[in-house]
Amino acid sequence: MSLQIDTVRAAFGGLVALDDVSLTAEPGAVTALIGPNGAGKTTLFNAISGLITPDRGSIRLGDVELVGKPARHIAKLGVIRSFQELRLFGGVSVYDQTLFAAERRVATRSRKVRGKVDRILARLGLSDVRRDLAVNLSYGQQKAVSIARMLAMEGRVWLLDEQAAGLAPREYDLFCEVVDEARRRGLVIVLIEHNLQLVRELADKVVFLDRGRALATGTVQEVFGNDVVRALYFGRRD
Amino acid sequence: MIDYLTTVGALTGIFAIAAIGLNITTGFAGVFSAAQAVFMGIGAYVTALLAPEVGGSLVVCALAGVALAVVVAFVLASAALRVSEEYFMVASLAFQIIVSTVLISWYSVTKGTDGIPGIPIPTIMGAELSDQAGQTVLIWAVVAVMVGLTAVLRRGSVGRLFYAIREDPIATQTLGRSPIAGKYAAIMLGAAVSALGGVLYAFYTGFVNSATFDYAMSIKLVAIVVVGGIGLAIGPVVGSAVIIAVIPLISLLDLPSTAVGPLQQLVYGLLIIAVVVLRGYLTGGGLRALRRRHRSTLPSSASRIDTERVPT
Amino acid sequence: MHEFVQLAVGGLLVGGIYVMIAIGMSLILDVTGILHIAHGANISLCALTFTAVEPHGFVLAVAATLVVSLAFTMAAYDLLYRPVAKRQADLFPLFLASFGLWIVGSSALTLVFSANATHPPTSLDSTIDVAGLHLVKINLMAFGAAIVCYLLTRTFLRRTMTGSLMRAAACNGEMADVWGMPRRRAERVAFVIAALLSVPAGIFAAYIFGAYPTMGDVPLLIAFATVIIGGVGSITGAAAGALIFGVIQGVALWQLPPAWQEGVVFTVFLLIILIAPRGLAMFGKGRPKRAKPTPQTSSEPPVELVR
Repeated sequence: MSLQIDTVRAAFGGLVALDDVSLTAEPGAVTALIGPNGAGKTTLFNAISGLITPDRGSIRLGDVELVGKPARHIAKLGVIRSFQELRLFGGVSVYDQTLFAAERRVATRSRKVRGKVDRILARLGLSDVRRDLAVNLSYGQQKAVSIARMLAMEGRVWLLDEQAAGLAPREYDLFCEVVDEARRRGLVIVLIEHNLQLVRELADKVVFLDRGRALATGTVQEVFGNDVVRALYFGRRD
Repeated sequence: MIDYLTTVGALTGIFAIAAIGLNITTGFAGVFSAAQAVFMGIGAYVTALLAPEVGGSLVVCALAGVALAVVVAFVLASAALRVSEEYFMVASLAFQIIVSTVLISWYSVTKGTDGIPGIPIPTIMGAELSDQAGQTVLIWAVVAVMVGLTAVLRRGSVGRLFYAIREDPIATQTLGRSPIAGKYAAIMLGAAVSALGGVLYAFYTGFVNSATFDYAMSIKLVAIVVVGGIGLAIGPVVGSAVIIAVIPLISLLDLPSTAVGPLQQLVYGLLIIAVVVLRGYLTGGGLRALRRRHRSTLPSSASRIDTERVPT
Repeated sequence: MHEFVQLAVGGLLVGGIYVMIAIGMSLILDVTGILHIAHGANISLCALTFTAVEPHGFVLAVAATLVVSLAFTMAAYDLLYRPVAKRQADLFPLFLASFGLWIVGSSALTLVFSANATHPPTSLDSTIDVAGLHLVKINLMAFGAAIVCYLLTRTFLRRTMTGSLMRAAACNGEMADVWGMPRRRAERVAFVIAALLSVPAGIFAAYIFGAYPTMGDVPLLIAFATVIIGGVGSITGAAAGALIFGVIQGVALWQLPPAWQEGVVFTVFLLIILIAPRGLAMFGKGRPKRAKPTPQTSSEPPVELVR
């Protein structure tokens, strides 16, 4: 079930953050959004996850229109996201917030759910800090908690907003493994990345955004080789 | 002397129960209510008006008082939750003033500041609880049950939802849960428990009037919750022991009677400030910056560094 | 009907006091995010100080009021909010601290001053008749002062560098940092303006309501209500809301005894947020955008584009 974004436009007080963006993200593939700061990458995630409502355009998961649905319904449909600023529940333990993400409603039967949470925390190397409050963790561990919450939610679409930034090498490798596993399970994965090395390694498809417009779409080679992209994005350093 | 101690003991328990309600709303779910005395007042007035009709049945009065408080809380939440969470407090203060106005001015029912005396002795299962000691035991039994229930609530899925709302409503939504539903639940649940405190208050003192449940009482409940430790299940009991049992000892000082009330308020205020300032020193708090607006420097600076990583 | 109009106009004039308070509150809330509820104690403090010093000379009394207002407000910012904010980035502890300070302030004033309302003597409490309406001169002056305060604040925000940077800080703290405006200065200026505005507010409130230790509480709450109703982030909305509440408060006397006045005002407030949760501004600006919570992420794109 693919995620199709069709001519989505969002403006804030005259500033056009998304200017008729269209793209499709396929299941079992990693789609990377790249582009300079202010290109509208995070705004696109906000639009997909229902935190903002685009002025026009459509966002569909399979046949289901997402535009106009409240954020929590979109999450329940399996479209789940992380935040660049993580938005962890700082005063809540690692275990409790992962468990919260795994619970669909207030009275979930918990034996099975708890086992799943244990496995997720073990996979992400968080078992030792499961009782710690999220605020007391290192930055890399906090990012792992953010991923743990997404794994706990299961879901069909992952929107990853700069989850690899600032990770130590081992954390970085683990992140790549987890994303790769999710891809093999057939999830739609969209990630925002500034680290182009990671994009080369993971992305099946790359979309270059600039000033709210999708200027180039294609494979890594195609987009990185695109003249416009080179001029706008890489050209700054030449 | 013994009488005095039982009275203080009973009142400490009653206020602990009322504050447990506020602790659920404010401490667990992070919705600051400055109108909790209203719910206590609803419990008390329902008892004052209903108890003579039903032979002082505690259970009937408690059920009626709690039910009405929950309904009123639902109405308050419907209005107040429409504005952003930070302003719930303003709406609740406004609500407190509305209800105080009604209690004072609707004389035919509430008897205003004259109040309603002669509330009958409570009965449970047909047995009269005629002595103060018996009532005190009952009150503390309720306290124990409520502390236990909130401790269970805190550790369960409802508690996790409340904490999530308190910490970050937006992340709560993106995890597929409704912050608004959780807030309604926290406000109504808190109102129910506080109303129970009000029912016990009316039975214990045998008298209610409009001056009792004004905003000074709401402030007292806030002080109890803050001093006892926001969000701890046992917190309201500790806070109530300090605020209800210890601070009134001020009246033992040789002061003009008009100065006692304001002086107590002054101490509540100072205690709230002291707890807030001290909490900062105890928790350090630095990393909380991660999730609050205009202070999220860590993630954005980290991403900026990565922007510089450009392929060769 | 004539009585109704009389009450409405009387309320409108008294609304001037709420305007002066509401503008200050609105600025503090926008720039710092703090719900500065302790301001209520400051209004009472201003009114009481003025009334106490007034027998020794009007100018001296105004100067004394100015000094205590600035001292209280800036002490609240520098000695309480800053140290708390330094260690806890949350807004909730700041709010609790303000709540505590409000209680301390009100109860300290109650200990020092008499609980009875004292009116400073004035010859201006007589009425003049305009178009068949009796208008109290001092109330007219309060209204005039409110208009002057509103225009001055608006001009300051629009025309001065500091003002426009404060507006930037209100939209986004980081942007103000980028532009080289230290956040702290924007915050401090917001508090100074609120302190300055509470001087005329307190003085006129002393003449009109009489000075007593908890007199500032209801006007402050009305000011908060107007900030919410008027739409956060707009001093014009706040000022308009304040006048509306003045009128409602006046009209409430039409059929009901005075004891119901406050109850009516706040019932109307709750009804308004029930009907128009986004504030009255949503009626003026055409169809509002869907009422979604706006996370910090959504305020990001415009900022990034500006860069």
